[in-house]
Amino acid sequence: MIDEKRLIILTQSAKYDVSCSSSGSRRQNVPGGLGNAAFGGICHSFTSDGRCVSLLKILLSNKCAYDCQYCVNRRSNDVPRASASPEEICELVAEFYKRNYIEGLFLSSAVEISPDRTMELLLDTVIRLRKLYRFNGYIHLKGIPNADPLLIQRAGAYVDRMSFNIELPSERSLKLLAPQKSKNAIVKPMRLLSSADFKENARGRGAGKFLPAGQTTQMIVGASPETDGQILRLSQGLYDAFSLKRVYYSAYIAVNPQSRYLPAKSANLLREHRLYQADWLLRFYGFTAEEIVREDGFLDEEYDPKCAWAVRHMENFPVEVNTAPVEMLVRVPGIGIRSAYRIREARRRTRLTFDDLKKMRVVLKRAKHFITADGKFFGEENFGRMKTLLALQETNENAEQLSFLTGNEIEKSVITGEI
Amino acid sequence: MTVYLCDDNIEGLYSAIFRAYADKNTKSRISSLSAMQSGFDTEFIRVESDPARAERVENAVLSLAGRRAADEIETAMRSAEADKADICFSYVKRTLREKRYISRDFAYLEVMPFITLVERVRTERHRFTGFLRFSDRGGVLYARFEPDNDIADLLLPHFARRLGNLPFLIHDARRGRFAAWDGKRAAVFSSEKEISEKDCGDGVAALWKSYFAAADVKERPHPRQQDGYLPRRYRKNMCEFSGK
Repeated sequence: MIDEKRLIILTQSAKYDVSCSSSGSRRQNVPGGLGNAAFGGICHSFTSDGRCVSLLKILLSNKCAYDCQYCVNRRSNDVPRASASPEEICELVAEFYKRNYIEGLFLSSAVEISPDRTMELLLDTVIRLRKLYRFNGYIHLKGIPNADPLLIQRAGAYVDRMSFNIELPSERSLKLLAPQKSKNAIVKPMRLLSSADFKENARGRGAGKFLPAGQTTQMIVGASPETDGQILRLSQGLYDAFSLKRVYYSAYIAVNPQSRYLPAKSANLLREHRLYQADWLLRFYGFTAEEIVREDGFLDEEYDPKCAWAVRHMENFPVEVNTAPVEMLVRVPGIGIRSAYRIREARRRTRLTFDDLKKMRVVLKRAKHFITADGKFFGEENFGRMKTLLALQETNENAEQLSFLTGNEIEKSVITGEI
Repeated sequence: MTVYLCDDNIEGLYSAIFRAYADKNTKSRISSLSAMQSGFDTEFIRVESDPARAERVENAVLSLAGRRAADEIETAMRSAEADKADICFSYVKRTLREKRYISRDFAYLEVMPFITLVERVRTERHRFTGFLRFSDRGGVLYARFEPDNDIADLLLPHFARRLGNLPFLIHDARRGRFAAWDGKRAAVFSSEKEISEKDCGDGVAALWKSYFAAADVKERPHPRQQDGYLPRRYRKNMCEFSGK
């Protein structure tokens, strides 16, 4: 079994990757096997930074040949180094999994010696887990840029999800801050993973379905000068072109204050929050990046992106809840996917009034300015006052949201991405 | 006001509903025995569970509103809410009146409180698929927990699928309920027996604690979010939070 010292080093080196999800796969257990995957994902614990612990997120090694400025494991950084063997990782996963500490493994590695050598070790670990340990829990494998496509293809047949991190939202920033990585080295394997031929050829080589939970990526926000608009357009492109399941955004944490290319301070968390909200709008609410961002290319800080869009487009409102199509209902600030669904179901039998909406627990604080119910309007008619009210609510909510909501509601909003 | 007092389970509820209809007293309330609250002009009538009568009510629900409605009522009765029996009673009355499945008619007064009960039980069950902590007790995995709602047996199929041949015992210490799996068969039983507290025990638990501490991003503290997602009351049975 791996010793505590190395476990801590390899965990601390992995923790800045923000992806934590274990969703998207329905992998079944087999007789004599251990584990399965839950399609919706399962959170096993929460650290005091508020993040969910679902997978054992660990590096195989943090001895990196690269020197990416934003990364805690860069070659020039003076941190303790360690590596683990594939066998040690497998053993730890099985023991943690049996005790229900984790939902599976999120394995990544620094580029030790060469990309191919590193990818081989990662592949060895996942094959060992699946074949020797008969482990059927969730595996998220990080792909190593510049590794041989055949290794990547083989890995895809064993794991549930793979990700190549874009890290920086433009080629220019990548050249400046991660000179050993190129846009092509990251985008090419992503394109490969999403291509039908690649998936088809992988069959028969490994253990079944190719990447059932698809691929994701991560971008660091605030380490380089790109606008929210550039970031969201890139995300939109990735969702469209590679059918990505998710793009994660990580506000830059100043792990390298000495660098003259990087900001000395960590990035604003509100910006990260707004990007996630905007990202949900792209994926679930039918918005485009162009609609959401302001003319200067950034998202509003004072309102959430949907509210900001609605305030800029008052010509679309108010909408009547009894007749508006669902696509329009979800565009109303304060009405999320669940509320829109409830309204659609309930209005089949009843003509809904504001009282009914309250009974159905539709939150009307913001929505009332943008809807009529049975022809009645209870919002603020003065546009200026309405904007002030909305901005005030937003400030209060940011401060008090968590104490207001029950755990139940928070969890739901995480799942449905409601705003 | 008449209040029918029933046993705290689905059979008890259905027996009381049968009685209320038999007495032509559907304006009454139903309360589970454990949640009985006296009022000024309350007349209490104790209703013993009667499997045959309960089945007749259940069949009525099944034939008019289907399996989904019956499952939801069964789930709602696992709730820890004091007025769950009465909320279910209102829901069943409306179902029998409408003669169909009504859980999506959110504007009905009877529906949202009922659906809220069901969702809370299901959410807690989902949470414990993650928050339950097993320790290895000589080849048997043992997990103690104290859920708000009666969900021990609901967790059984999930862990049986997942752990396969490994035997385990899930212990709801609040209710003295056990859900057991021996690798092939499942059993659910009640017992007041206390299983000795032994921390999560072995070296693996120690590694898990170290892992948990190391995975925290100290630069971004957000304890309120942590509290929202992982209520403090659950933590005493989770080894990463125990000081031992």
